[in-house]
Amino acid sequence: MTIDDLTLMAFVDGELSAAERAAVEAAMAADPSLRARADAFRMARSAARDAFPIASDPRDAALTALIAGSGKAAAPGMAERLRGWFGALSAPRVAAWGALATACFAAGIAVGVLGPSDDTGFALDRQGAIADAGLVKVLNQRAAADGADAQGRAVGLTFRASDGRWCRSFQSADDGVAGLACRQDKGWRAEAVAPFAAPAGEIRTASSETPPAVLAAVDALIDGDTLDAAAEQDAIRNRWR
Amino acid sequence: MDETFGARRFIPHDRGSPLDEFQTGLVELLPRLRRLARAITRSDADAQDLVQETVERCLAKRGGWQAGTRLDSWAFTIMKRIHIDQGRARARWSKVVSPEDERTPQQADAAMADEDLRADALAVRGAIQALPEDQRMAVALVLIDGLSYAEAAVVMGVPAGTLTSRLVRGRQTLIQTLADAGVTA
Repeated sequence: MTIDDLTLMAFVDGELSAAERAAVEAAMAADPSLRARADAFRMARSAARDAFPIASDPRDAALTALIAGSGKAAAPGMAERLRGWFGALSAPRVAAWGALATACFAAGIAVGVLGPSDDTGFALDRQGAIADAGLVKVLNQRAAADGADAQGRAVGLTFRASDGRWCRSFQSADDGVAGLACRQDKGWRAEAVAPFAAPAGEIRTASSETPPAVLAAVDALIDGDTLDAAAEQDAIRNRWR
Repeated sequence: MDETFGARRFIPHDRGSPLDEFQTGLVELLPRLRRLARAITRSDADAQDLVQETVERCLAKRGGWQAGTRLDSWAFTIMKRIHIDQGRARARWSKVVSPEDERTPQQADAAMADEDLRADALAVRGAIQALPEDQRMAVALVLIDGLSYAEAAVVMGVPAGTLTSRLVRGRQTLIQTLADAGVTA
């Protein structure tokens, strides 16, 4: 079999059959220049991929509204609020998570389009801090064992992030949102959000399934273990210092 | 693909019906559509226009997508067709001989600068954007989005052999350009 650039390229891209792969490996063993050429193809591939990272983009807010509304424009004021949300979620540290940012962006914007009115319910300010007073109170004071409040808000896991911030996962059944928030500047910053549907007709509890995007955010941030009930109570009592 | 989380997600709504599979899929596809548009156009503004038009066309031609088939290949094919049509229109009006001719690489536009890319990555972007149209599309689909040869050939509407020859030529140029610029992996 001729080992030309096409073959080496297909080898690097995993497009050869097992037999063809073996033939190329044998040829490379005999001729190191072939391996060097294959490495060049591999390097070009990863360089190309790294030069165009996946990232969320504020302009996709209007596109999402278009898709969700099947042609109807977003309500007045909603577009501005979506841009604010979006700007918060596309902060550099979120964009660095690649796939996670994709899930957050898709979920966050869908919730923004379909959620409650501008004045109430789940909202973020421009810096990504949670602006929903009811949820802030829950994050400050509620324990996982307390279950959900009357609006279906509950906390789940509590832990320290690798940068030292306190973080808590939460659900808000009435708003249809679940997420991860970390304590910053005396407030709580949303690190991940995802759509959340509490099972209809059942008593809402905190044991409803946490969306994968939120769990991924927990994994990305956590340093050590989640807190047990006693440690959680201490943190609440100490006002998250 | 590393950007999917689960087969289907219910997006809650306090009035009316949830988003269906097509809508959810298309929303989730937006970052990849945007990335492909960035790779095959020459400016952020062009990329934005291309994404916008692609989404509108996808919504308009929704009946042409069969549930259970690949939404990404379908949407990318639409983007490719729009891009080729736009290229032809530009060629007619600006008297550029053919989109296939080498163009001088344009300067990295301002929008790229605030994406926190290393200088190397900017050089790579320039190299890819300097490739002829067909090679650039092949590189974008296989190297950047990660489609297989077979999947990329479907999007480009060509036999696999044509796809691989465009890909290898684009990549050979890329290797040379990067070596000349002293870029290491």
